[in-house]
Amino acid sequence: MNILPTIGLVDDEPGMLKALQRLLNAEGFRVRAFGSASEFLQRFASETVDCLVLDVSMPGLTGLELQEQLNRAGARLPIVFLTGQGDIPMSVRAIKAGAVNFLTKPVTDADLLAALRAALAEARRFQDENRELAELRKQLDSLTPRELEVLRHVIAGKLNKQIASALGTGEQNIKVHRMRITAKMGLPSVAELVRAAERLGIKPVE
Amino acid sequence: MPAYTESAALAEAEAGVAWWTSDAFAIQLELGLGYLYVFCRMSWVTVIWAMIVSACLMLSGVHVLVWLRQREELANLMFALLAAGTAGMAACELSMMHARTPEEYTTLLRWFHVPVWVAVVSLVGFIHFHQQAGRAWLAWATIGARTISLGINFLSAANINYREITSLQRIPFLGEPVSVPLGVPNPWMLLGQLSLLLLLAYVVDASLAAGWRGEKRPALLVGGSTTIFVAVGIAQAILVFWRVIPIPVTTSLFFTGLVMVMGYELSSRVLRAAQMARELRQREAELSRERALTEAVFDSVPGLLYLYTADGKFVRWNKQYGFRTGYTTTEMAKMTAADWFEPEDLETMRAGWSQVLAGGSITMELPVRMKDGSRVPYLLTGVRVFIDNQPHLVGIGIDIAHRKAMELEATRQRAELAHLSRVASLSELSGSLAHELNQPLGIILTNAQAAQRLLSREPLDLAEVRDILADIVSEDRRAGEVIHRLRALLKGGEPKREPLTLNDLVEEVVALMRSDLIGRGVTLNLQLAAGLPLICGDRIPLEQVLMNLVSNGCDAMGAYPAAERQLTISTQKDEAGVKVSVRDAGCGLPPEPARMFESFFTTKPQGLGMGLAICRTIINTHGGKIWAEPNSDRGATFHVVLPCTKEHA
Repeated sequence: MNILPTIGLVDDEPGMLKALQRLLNAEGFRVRAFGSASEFLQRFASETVDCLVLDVSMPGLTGLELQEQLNRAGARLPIVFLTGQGDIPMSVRAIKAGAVNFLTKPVTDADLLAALRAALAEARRFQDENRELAELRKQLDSLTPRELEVLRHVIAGKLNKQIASALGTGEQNIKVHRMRITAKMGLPSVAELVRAAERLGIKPVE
Repeated sequence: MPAYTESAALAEAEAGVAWWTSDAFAIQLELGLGYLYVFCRMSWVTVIWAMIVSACLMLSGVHVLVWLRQREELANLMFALLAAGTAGMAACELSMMHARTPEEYTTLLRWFHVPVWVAVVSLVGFIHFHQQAGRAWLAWATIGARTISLGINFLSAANINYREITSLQRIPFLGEPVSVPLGVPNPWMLLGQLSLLLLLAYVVDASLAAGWRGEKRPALLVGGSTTIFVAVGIAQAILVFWRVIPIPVTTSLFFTGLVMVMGYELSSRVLRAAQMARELRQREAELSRERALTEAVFDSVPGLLYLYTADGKFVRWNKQYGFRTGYTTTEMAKMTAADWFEPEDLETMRAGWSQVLAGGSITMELPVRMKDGSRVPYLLTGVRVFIDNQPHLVGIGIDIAHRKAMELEATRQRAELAHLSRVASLSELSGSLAHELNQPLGIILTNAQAAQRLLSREPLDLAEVRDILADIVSEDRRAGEVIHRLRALLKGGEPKREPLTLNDLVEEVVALMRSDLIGRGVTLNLQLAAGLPLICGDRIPLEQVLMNLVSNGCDAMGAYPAAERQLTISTQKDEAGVKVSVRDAGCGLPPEPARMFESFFTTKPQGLGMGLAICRTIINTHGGKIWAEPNSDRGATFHVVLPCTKEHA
């Protein structure tokens, strides 16, 4: 996050869109403004944003519906909601679905900026996690198919003897595979392996 | 004559013999005939001719009296003269029949022609006045010929019938000897007989003309009988004077026949007149009853009752008129129709006036000026009535001050109800309206804070700050407008009329309800026709109607997925004015759509059932129409038609 963070704004009210853009620009953010949820969805793929300031009630797709769609698509985008007429059920729903904050208009710059900072921190956290995951994925990809199979047995909590008999080979061979897996993945303990496998979506044998 | 005894009569009575075949009756009959025989020996000629004279004189006298009472009835006078002439003729004839010497006869015959002249002339006159027909020249020819022959009668040696009467012959007539003359006939007699033929022609002519005219009965009776009697009279005179048959002159007999027929005709007229007089009296009695009733009705009418001449002169009024207006009868008698109205109402009143005189009828509401100068609203009617062939205006006036006050109160209550319902619907919208206010406030705040940040930065971007300030101003104005609209809707206020654009109303309502529509997930389509004519009305209630229809449309679509919640508001020109339609894709109309506009009819669990009823009241007071119809696919469309102002935009 060495470059300026980019903030996406979605609001059907052009005046509000313009005002927020001015405020955030003055605060030194890069801003991408969208007039509706569907416009954002169309341009989302090509224009990446770090976090989203989203109006709740909009004609067509509402803010909450956009949040649902993004979650379904697996996009981990921190969202700060703005609403003119927020009620508690609505805010609970938004926060449960992963929103960073739920602010009621008119919103002060301090509140908005604080919420944005939290959102950006979360975005950074998402990015760090993503980077780690990418590293792990790379290490996983270096395993041979045989080593991957052994790994699935290991994270299932099986002993070397059990693995050897299951794979129809000697206990010694299994030990060698495990050493190589530990070296390649850079994870010395079984517990760490189990956690990494879970994050990478590798399922243990039955 | 058989001997008759009481015992015989008793015996007959016991035997049951009928009285008219009895001997007793036969005896009485013979006795009666005996008296008649004695009477006959008194000389038939004297009896008959004397009777003729007296009967004719009596009739003459009676009709002279009738004529004296009714001078315009000249037929009666003529009849009196005819009867008098006939009496004279009869008297002369009687004397002639009893004349002893030719000289006496000659003189009597000469004077005989005076009553004959009177009879002929009066007969012509009678026919003329009675039938009102016949050729005048025939009448004058008859009178002329008769007058000339009368002149000759007196100028010639003896008379017009004879140059000389040589002797008298005694011949039996009606059982006694009477005198008839013997002498040299006078050829001038032909002139007298010509006059009688002319009379005959005149009578026939007049009777035919009267008959053609449709007066069949008098024509037949008078014409027929005159023709017969005159013809027979002429025939007899010719036969007598030219000595074809030896009988005395009996012209008066035929004239008596004429007098009788005409007397009958005249008396039937008198009878008819009497009948008519009786009916007239009855009608007058009825009329006076009716008049009394009318007076009573006039005075019992709980309002004004008036009758004016076409030029506005006050002719009749009822007691209430003076009682209510405070004027006295003498004051009102000098007043004209225009005096009752204010100068600004005169044009309306005169328009109604000429409408009535042209044969129409009017009902108008105008203030009537009382004597104390106050003005009381009256419902005035008027119809044309002809009195003595002159057009008049008659009508009644009913005091509607009370009704007007009630109407005003009802209007006030309607406005109050509409206001309450407006406040209620606005409170339902309060969330959305808060948003509508929050939006500009939020924009202002954010812009202001952005500007604060910009001002603390170097270099100063003044252009951006100017833009921000311009936006702040416009957003502030927008917030102000929302508040202004809200205040207008919340205010009760007097109903007012101003020229309005339908599209403006739609846009204002849409602006107020925008957030609400978004909140309900309704997509709004506007199809507003350009260049619509202006309407005249009260902005706030009309916007209330539109708000109500939009809100109803949204409610109707609540159960459907958001993508299907389409609401369309369209405006267009309509035959009756301008039309705005609100179309939804909701659950449709209840089974009886017309009932929706009744008070307390609702299909919503929390509904009061006043919304559409108030809408209808509002639209009705604007002279418009509101109705609903189902869509062919789904949902319903509500239409409102409002009349355009006269000054076309």
